[in-house]
This record gives sequence, structure tokens and C-alpha cells, in this order.
Amino acid sequence: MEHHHKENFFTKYIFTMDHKMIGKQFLITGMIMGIVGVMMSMLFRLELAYPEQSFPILEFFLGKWAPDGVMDPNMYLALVTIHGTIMVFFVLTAGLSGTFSNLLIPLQIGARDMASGFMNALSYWFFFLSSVVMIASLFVESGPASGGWTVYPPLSALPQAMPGSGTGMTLWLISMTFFIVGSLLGSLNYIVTVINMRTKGMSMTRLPLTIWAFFVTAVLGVLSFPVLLSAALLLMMDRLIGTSFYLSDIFIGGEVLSYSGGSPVLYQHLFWFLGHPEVYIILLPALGISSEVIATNSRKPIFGYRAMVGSILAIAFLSFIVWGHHMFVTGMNPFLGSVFTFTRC
Amino acid sequence: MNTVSIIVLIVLAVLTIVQVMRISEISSSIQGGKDNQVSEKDNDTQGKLLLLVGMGFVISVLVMYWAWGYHSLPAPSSEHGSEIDSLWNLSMLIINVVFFIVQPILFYFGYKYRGKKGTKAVYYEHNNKLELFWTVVPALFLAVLIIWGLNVWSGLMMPENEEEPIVIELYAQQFNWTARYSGGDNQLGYATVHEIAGANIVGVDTKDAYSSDDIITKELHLPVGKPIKFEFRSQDVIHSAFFPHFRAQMNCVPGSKTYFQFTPTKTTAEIRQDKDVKNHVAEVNEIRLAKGEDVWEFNYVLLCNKICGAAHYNMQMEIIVETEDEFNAWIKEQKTVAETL
Repeated sequence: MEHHHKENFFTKYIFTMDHKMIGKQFLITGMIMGIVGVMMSMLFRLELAYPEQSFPILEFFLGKWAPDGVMDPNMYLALVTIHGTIMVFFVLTAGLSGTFSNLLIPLQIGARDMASGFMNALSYWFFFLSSVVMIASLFVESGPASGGWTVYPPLSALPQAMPGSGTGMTLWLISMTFFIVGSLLGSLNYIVTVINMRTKGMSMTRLPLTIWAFFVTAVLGVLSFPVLLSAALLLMMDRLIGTSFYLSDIFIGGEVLSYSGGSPVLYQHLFWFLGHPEVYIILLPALGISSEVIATNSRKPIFGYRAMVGSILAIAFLSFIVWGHHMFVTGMNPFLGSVFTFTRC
Repeated sequence: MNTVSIIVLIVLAVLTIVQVMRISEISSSIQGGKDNQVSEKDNDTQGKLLLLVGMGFVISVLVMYWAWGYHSLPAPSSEHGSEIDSLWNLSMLIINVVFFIVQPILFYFGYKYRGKKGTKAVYYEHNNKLELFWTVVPALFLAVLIIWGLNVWSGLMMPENEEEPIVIELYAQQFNWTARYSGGDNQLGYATVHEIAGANIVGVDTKDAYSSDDIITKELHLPVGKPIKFEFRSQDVIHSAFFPHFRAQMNCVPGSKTYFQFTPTKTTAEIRQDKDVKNHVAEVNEIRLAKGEDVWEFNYVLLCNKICGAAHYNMQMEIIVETEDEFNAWIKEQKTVAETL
């Protein structure tokens, strides 16, 4: 039982363990990252619309990466990569789930706070740390990660393949590791809170749809993010200690590299095993919120509550058996392609 | 103006907006207005705007189809390509029918039942029959598309060959393509990155008997009407062989071989006469001549479709589809591995 001590600026705003304040922390950090991501998109869209032309504003923002106002091709790829990473993970996963799950779960199930205020604070601070590392990666001399937001190896494993696969890529991996840790801490907290701390009389079938959505999203997260973490760890090992998980028979920079026996397609399977549930992690909270916003403002119950719950559960289950539909032309066995076409249905 | 003053200006502008909003909030509460409740007028305005924006959106989609639809690829130049395009067309038909029915209805009812004092929503809590209906019917439509798609997919990827396809290797590296024809024996010689040295850019093992009649070129010539089986290799990172006009794509994975087979059906000469292609070429050349650049003639093209580094956008190879006689004549002129390595 915590004592009620007098709160100072730090315990109230910075190292808070109150779910509403933590929700605000996620919101502000998510919004700032969102602004960064949007600005990147404006820069690369300018390049896409008017390729290889000179614009002073490019040199203003990109400095040495846009000499005489003409964008360096590596920086174009870097902008696209970091924009994608920021938008998918930092804004739509942490920014959405972190804000709304934290704010709404205790309030809507009648709990005093999350199951663990401390873990909740930790989840935010890991998110903050990963944001700082990701932003820092923008300023390294060889440039930020540029292999696309999916960072497929060998491109992302070999610094010789592109400058962005040097220090920038290492920092990307470190940032994503912290991000995943924070996300897992948060998701565990949401699951435990929803299961254990509902108020008297609130059975699961009386849960607001928003909470159903947040709960299932959190379950999706704990089951799929660890796979991305393992993909990232294996990639880090290939980069730093010479393992060959994803690499085999490569000739680059005038020499044959010593990697042997690995497969780039392994990374793709691991990545998309998260990648597909990820998009449902992004979608489900929005579905849950819109169900309730519409119902509340129309002053009537949402149509088909049980069918909605069934749909949410079905979406979650199905999302685990379709990841290969991101991989039809990867060169995997065509039979697998047939399987994933079928599950796509 | 220097950077610092621009930033200061932006910060001040944001602060000004915040203060103006606070003032309007406070002043409306002083005037006794219930500033937290949505007024009748607000609901009415929002409802009308919803209808306007919604219909505007739907109309803009129509306008975009009409104004820019002609930019789509010309009719396919491969046998399987027409099946792919049929799948696409059916999917787009279903999508568009549903879209142009559902969206106007959605926005219209959103407007019609906008919040109005005195109106109450119908208490309609659930209807299992309805749920079943609108699950099963779309599932049936999807099942048709999927089964059809599965058939096309297996026909594509695991083709039954009546005649033996011509085997050609496409070798991808940062940032160019090299083609290797298998020659008279229709078998490619063994090749690996470990054999790369000097003139041997794709790493052919010259000791392998099958490799002596292989032909390495930087241009891809294909005979029309003959099935061609491509083997893809990559030297360094993942590339992707993308043949848009033939509706074909397959990644090139370092450390593995990947495959794709298709039969070209239109020669380069034929497709240059295609109406859509002619219009496109005319439009492009109008711009080029205005800029003082030289005229462009249409060619089939092989593109790289997986980010592979800085010059990925420029990693292309010309593809020339010609009659079998022209193809044989061209191949005869090329030098084999035995002659060059």
C-alpha cells in the first residue's frame, strides 16, 4: 500500500506512475515523433515530385545530404525508412495504444490504476529512450538507417552495401530493441489489468468494446513483438559478431564475404510474423474507439455487441496465419504462396 | 531572416493561437453559453459539411479515374498476363461497385440523421440473421476471387510445360543486370560468387561442361511466343526482377536461386504500335522536346523492385522481344563463355 506523499514537480509530471499522466506522456512524445515523421515525408515527397532538382529548403534541412539543394539518393532512402519506422511504430503503436490504453482502461473498467504503476512508467521511459536513440541516429556521419522500414538483410546487415547500413542501422536496432521492451511491458500491464482488476459486476461480456479492442491488441503485441525482437537480435549478431543467420554467398566491395549457410528469407518470415499482427495492433484500438464514440453520441448501444467481440477475436486469431501474403515474390516455395493465398481469404 | 528568428516567430504564433482560443473559451462561458455542449447549429453545420465533403470525396475519385486512368499499364505482353489483368479487373469491379454504393449511402444517412433536438435513435441492438448475411455474402465473393487467384497462381508458379522453356539467368548486382543465356544445351553452367574474377563477372565455373555454350550479355532479347524460364541470382543484396509489361516479378536473393517463367506474346515492334503506348510516348516526347532533350522510343524494361542502395532507382535493363528468326540471328552474333573466358 503506497503512502500518500506530497508530490513535487518530478513525481507528478516526470516520474509519475499515474496512468492518466503516463497517457499524456505517450501522447506528447507520440505527437512530437509524428511531427518529425510528417516533416520527413514532406521532404521526400518534394524529391519524388521533382526528382533531382535543386531546392534551397532541402539544403536547409539536410545540410551535407543535399549539396546545392539536390537531395542525395541515400538520404532519400533514409527519409523514407525513418518516416516509415516512426509512423508505424512510434506514432501508431506506442502513440495510439500507449495513450488511449493507459488513459481509458482503468477508467472504463472501474479500476483505481493499472496493475503496476511502476511497470507502466517503465514502459513509457523505454519508449522515450527509444525515441531519443532513433532521433540520434539521424545525425550520425554515415546517415540513418536507409534500407526501408522493413530493413531487409543483406542490405541492412552490410555496412558496405550502403552508408545507412553502418552506425545508423546499429542505432535503429538498439532503438527498436528498447521500443519492443517498452511495448511488451505496457501490453503485459494492460492484459493483467483487464483480467484482474475489473470492478464488481463487470463480466467480460459487459466490457466496453473499446476495452475489448485494447485487450486483444495487447495480446497480439505480447505474442508477436518478441518475434521482431529475435529478428533484430539475429540481425545484430550478423552485423557485429560475424554470424550467418541471414547471409550466404555474398560478393561485395570486390571480395567474397565469409558468411555461409544463412537465408535472407528467414528474416522476412520473422519480420512479417510481427508485421502482419502489427497492422492489426494499429487498427483494433481505432475500431474499438469508433464503436464507442458512435454508440455514445447516438445514445444507443452499438449494433451487434457480441458479433463485434467475435469479430475482434477472429481478426486477432486469423492475423497470425497470414503473414506470408507479404512474401509472395520473395522466392519462397510456391506451395507456401498457395497456403497464404487461402488464409488471406 | 535567420533561423533563430524564424523559430521564435513560429513559437510566438503558436502561443498567440493558444491564447486566442483560451480567450474565446472564457468569454463564451462569461456570456453564459454552455461551451461544453454541442449546439443545434453546430450539429447542423457539421452534418451539412459531412455530406459536402463525403460527396466531394466520392466525386473526386470519379474525376481522378477519368483524368488520370489512362496512365495504367498497356495490355499485357505475356500469356499469363491477361489472366492477371482479368483478376485485377474483377477485383476492381467488385471494389468500385461496393464503394460507389456504400459511400454515398453512408454520407447521406450521416447527414440525414445528424443530431437534432427531439429525435431519438431507434433502439436496434442486434440481429444475428443480418450478421450472418453480411458475413456469408462477402465471404462467397472472396471465395470466388481466392479460388480463381489460386488457380492462376499455381498455373504461373508451377507450370505444366508441353515444350521445354528456354532457360535464361538474370544476375543482379548493385546496380545493374547481366543476362546469361544457357545456349544450345539449354542448361546453365554452374556459377557461384566464389568464381568471380576479372572478366568473369557472374562467376561462371568454366570447368563445368554446361557452361561452355553459355552466352553472357547486357541486353535481354527474347523470342516471342516461346516460354522462357528465368533463373535469378544476386551477388550482394536482395534485388527484385520486375517486368511490368509482362506482369512478372521475382526477388533475386543472394545465396539462393529463384525462378519465374512466362511467354512473351508481343514483340517490341508490335507494342510500339499499341494505341495507349503511342499516346504515352507522344506525351513524354512533348515534354522532352520542350526541355531540349532527345526523343524517346518505347522499349520493354526490366526494373529493380527491392531497395538495394543508392542507385536502385536507376537499375534497369532493356528488354527486346523479337521474332524467333531475329532472336536466333542475334544470339548467333554473341560470344559464348568458351570464347570469352
